[in-house]
Amino acid sequence: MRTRATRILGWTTAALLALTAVLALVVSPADVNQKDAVRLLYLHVPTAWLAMYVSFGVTTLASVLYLWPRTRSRFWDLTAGASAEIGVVFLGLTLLIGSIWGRTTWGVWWTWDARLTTTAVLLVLYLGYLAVRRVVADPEVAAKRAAIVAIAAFLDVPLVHKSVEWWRTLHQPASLFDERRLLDPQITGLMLVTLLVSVLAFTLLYAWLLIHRFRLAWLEDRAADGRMALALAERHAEASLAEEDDDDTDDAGGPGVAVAVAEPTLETTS
Amino acid sequence: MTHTAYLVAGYGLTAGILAGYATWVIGRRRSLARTLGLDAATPPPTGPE
Repeated sequence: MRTRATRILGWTTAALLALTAVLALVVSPADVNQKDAVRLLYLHVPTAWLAMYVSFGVTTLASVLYLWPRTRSRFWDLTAGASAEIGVVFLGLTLLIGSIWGRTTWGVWWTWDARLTTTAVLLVLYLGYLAVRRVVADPEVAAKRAAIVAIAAFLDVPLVHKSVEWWRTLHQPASLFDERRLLDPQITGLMLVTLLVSVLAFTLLYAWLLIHRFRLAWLEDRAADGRMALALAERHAEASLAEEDDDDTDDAGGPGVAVAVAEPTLETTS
Repeated sequence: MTHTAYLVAGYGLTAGILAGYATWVIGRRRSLARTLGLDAATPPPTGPE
């Protein structure tokens, strides 16, 4: 039943993404100043929204729930890791699309603008978080360590959000996802409809990816437990073999005697 | 480059990267499920135990 629901979610997402492509590339009008380059907006804004606020928000929330002793569960740790990885993919796309858009409107692929720089720092922070998750350690210690890093990394999100107001930047202020712009958007008509459909489509895509990435993380966790159990079993087997050897050598009167006994046998066989 | 070329690059890269990532996740899940002898379609617990 749950798999069927995931399948329905997947097909709904695919249909909405196709609708987004038609609306963004065919139906919605070109901008007076930016011409057709404005169509990159319908990718740039949803990916940024999903990476910074949704994916990293879920990672932070799940990390807090993991650190809280009453709610601590492997479920929250795996959710945090899965969401962060998807967030990194979306944030990488945000920077990539932003770079292409910047080339058409500003004439440069990259500039050390406050918004761009804080976003690049955010990407590095979450790549670091994913690296911390891969450090070999006791699972509980590793999960606690990762949760603390996730919460610390999220501190950059308000900086990214406010960077266009706090510093003079090339990047334009928010058109929609801002506490003031949400009720008074700077984008209207078909462009607004296309942007909202695009945000909805990408949010469903995030949900679908999160379900699948979580399932994979759960299997990876089980595989790691299996490897640990196997390694422990091998260690136990080695330890009991070594004990048996020790017992045998003790029975034979110690290692020196054993060599003395073995040597003549070797001479006679050669 | 024309605006069309930038649009093709933007939309093409987004579609390629997202499709590639989704394929990797599903493919790895299936192969790991096979290795562990589990049914890939069997979902894990949906909440904290």
